[in-house]
Amino acid sequence: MVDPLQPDKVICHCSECGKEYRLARGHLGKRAQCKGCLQKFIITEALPAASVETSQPMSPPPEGCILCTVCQQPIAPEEAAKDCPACQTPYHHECWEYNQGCGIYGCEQAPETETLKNVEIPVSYWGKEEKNCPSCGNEIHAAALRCVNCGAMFASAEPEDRRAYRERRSKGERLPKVGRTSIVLLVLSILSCTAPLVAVFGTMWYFSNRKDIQALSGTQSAMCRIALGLAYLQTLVIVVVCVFYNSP
Amino acid sequence: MSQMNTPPPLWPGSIRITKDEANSEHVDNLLKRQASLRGEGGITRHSRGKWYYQNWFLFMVTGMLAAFGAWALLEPYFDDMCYIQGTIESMNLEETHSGRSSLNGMEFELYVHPKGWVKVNGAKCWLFEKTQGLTASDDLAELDLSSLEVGQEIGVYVMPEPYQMVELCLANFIVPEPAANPPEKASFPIRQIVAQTATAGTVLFAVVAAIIGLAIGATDGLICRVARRAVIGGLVGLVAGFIGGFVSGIVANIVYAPLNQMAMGQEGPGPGGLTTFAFVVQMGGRSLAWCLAGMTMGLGQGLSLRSGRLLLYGFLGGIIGGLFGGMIFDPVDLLLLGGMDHPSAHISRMIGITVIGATVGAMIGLVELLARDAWLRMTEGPLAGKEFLIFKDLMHLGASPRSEVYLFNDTGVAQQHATIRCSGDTYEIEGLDDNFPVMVNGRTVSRTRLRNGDQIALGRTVFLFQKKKR
Repeated sequence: MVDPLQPDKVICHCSECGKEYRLARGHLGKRAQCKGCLQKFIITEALPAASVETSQPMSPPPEGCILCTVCQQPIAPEEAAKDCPACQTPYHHECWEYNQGCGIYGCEQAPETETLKNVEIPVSYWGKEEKNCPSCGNEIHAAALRCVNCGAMFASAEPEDRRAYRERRSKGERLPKVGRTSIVLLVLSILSCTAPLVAVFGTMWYFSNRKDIQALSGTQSAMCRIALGLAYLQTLVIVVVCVFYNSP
Repeated sequence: MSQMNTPPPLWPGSIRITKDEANSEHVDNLLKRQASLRGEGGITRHSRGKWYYQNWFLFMVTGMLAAFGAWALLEPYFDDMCYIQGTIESMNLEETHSGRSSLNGMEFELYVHPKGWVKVNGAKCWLFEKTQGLTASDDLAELDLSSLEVGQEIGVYVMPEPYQMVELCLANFIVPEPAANPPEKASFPIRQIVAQTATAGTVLFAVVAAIIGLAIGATDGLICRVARRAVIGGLVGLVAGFIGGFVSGIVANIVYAPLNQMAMGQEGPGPGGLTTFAFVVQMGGRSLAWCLAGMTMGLGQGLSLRSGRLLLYGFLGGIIGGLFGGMIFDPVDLLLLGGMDHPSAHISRMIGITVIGATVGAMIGLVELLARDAWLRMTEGPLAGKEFLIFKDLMHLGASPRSEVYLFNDTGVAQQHATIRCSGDTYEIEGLDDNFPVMVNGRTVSRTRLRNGDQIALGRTVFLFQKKKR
């Protein structure tokens, strides 16, 4: 085969390792030593690629069969098939289901492609000296626990994304309030006149703030549970006394 | 089938592991060590603590016994109604009282209507619609006023109105045939009996709080065999309980008196002679009064060990225990004794005070159980099954009695063996003596972070570290 870039040269291959050489036509028929495998071989002109392909031709699809665009296999008449409602391209039914729509680019029945979400905060890694502040977005030192631009505070030097930062911050703002409410509940549950109210409203509050209560310190979360327990107990004793006090 | 039941043949170099070997402790220890090295959490199986080593139980028992002791100490000086016995000096069953009395110059209306009086030991005892008769053995009996005559020896249970001013004496019970040998006090002037009872009433909260404080403060020291801690804890509990009980007793009386007055003003058909509302008000007032008195009963341990956490647990437990005890004081009295138709509330007071002692103790232990963040459970050692609370940021473990966790009867434990340091949510153990190793999950460590379920071995004593999940 003639080298398309250098028409005076032919392409030949080592018969042992297949290493390609571009040699002058005059060397054809001579013996040479391969630089790759050091084996001796007779220089012969390589056959063009087309001639290789034609030597092993692909079996053509049976006449009258239609190829499925997804699996590239013929659709036999006995197989369940599906035509695209928009462009009428035929598919195996299974292939249509697998692809979740038409396989033709631009067809309105083609499945929606997933768009990759933009990463808000680039991930910091060892060796990188800066990270982005999740509050103001400015670049700050990777080891910073406080943003020099907006004053935002971080629990650790590990970079946080904006959502995690917001969640942590709002939780940090909520927890002291939940802790104070626990103390108020405890005080109200001590008084017999307000204990039934705590039993009702305190239970509702407890279930709506359960996760925050669990995140409180052991003493504060215990206060909350004790307040509810005390309120139930006081209410129960009052109800029992009211029911049975005058009974014989 | 026969092939399946036949064990596979052994060829040279093969190892056969028996079931006993696979289940041996050695294998467990190796697994623990492997898991620990991989950085996994502790894998110790959670053995259950022994209930009789639980603080709520210990404190409940000691609180109950202490309260009973306090009652026994005070009761001889306590009279709900003043009992006087003597001959009727004069009497008038027809005279009607104005129904008004005065306190500090302020006139107020009585909630009863006195009519008729008998004079015994110089005290003019007014009869009213609820005056009842009693036998010598304190059983209710029908009272026939017409049978009373001057010179007859009778016993009278008198309720002064207002109590400490003794402006008016109301005869609640009359004993027409009293016992031949009355107590010495029965011949005392009524003002002396009132003064004695008032003094006992003033120190009631203080004495009960002090004795319960003494018992609860000393309990942990006694269980852990640290005499020094028991003595100091007990004494601090005694003093704190007395001072706190005295101050809060005054406040409690201020709170309780108007509520009680309000309740007494509402007579009703109930077993205690009160309406349901009045009974609930009285119950609420009493629970509030005991709640205030209970504040200082559990402070001994926290003060003596200088631990803010224990102080808070004791404070909260005391409040809740006092409140609960005070709340069930009246219903228990009603249930067991049928209300106030008794000249004296000895039994009711005994039950009430004992219940308060038990509830204060139990609640202190319960608050501790609910609020604790981390603790050590002894799995092998002299107090196996006991849980040691990590109540300070720096806890010492060792054979020295000054250690927060005192390990006795173990020669493999150094005087200062290890410390557990708490920093935020993390706990760290550090060995203090190179000759006495600290083993965590079967691995000797000099300093390591503790995880829930870690096994800590100091000498022959083994602990399980446990931490509350958040």
